Amino acid sequence: MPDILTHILVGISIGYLLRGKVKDEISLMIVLGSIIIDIERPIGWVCGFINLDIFGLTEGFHTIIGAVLLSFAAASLFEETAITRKTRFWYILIGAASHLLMDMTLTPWPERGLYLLYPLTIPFSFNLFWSDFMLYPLIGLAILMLSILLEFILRRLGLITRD
Amino acid sequence: MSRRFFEALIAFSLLLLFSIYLGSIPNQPSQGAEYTWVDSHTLIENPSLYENRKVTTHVTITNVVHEGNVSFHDSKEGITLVLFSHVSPPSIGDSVLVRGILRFNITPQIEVVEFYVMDEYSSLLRSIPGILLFAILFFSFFKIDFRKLVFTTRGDLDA
Repeated sequence: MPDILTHILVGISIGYLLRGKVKDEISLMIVLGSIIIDIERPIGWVCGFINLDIFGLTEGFHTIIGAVLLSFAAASLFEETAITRKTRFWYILIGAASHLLMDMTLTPWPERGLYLLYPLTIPFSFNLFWSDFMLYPLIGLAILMLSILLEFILRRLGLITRD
Repeated sequence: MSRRFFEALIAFSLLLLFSIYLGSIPNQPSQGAEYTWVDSHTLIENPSLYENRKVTTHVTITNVVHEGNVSFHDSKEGITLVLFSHVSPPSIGDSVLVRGILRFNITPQIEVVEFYVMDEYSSLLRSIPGILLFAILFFSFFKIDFRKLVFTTRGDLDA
């Protein structure tokens, strides 16, 4: 798990690319999705505090099934407005997908990795960085800068317009 | 100079810096397909299944005993790590990922081939900036409706 800041920066990057196309509230759903999978951390801290063994929770949440379930649960926490739960769900899921993708860049040893297709225990990992890599937020920052650059180029080329 | 151009210039500069940085990252761990990831619970419960096999697991060191060139590292999980003349062995309290060969005497022992000390204690500390940033972002758009127990959009956004 990279630090939360990195995940948020990636979520903001995606939201930035969609700026003008979707409401800011929707962009924030992507940011929410980018960290929702790490909800296992506070749960883990609490369970650790009361000596409850939750081994496997991380693996369970960091899967496609986990992402879908958590996204649905998160989307249900909001009041129904013009933006429906279904819409929120999809944008939260986009953020959650970015989370899984970022986690796959980590290398808690190559033979481990994320069990994306759980219950199939096939590990997925790009094996690039250690999870306690102190400068990992730089990667998130680079992705954010890249999205700003990309948006600038696309706008210059007239492929996207802003209100 | 337009604001957009300025943003793009910053983005390009940071990307350049980042590329230079990536090029200077020290050696990354090698692929180890011959090792099997086994959680420490499974190793303790069924050590015979993995005896003399190459395994990878995660333990927390609780005690260290040095005997000549060999050091024995007891772990919270009940597995003993056996290290042969490593320059800098893990210390008590370290959370360690290890690759090695499982031997089973009285207790499961792993003859360590390679290890990495995880800095898990700073996890919470490193999370604080992200949590704060998210909280600020989130609650600038939403508030909690305690009557319905849901998040609602702040009124001014709909205006």
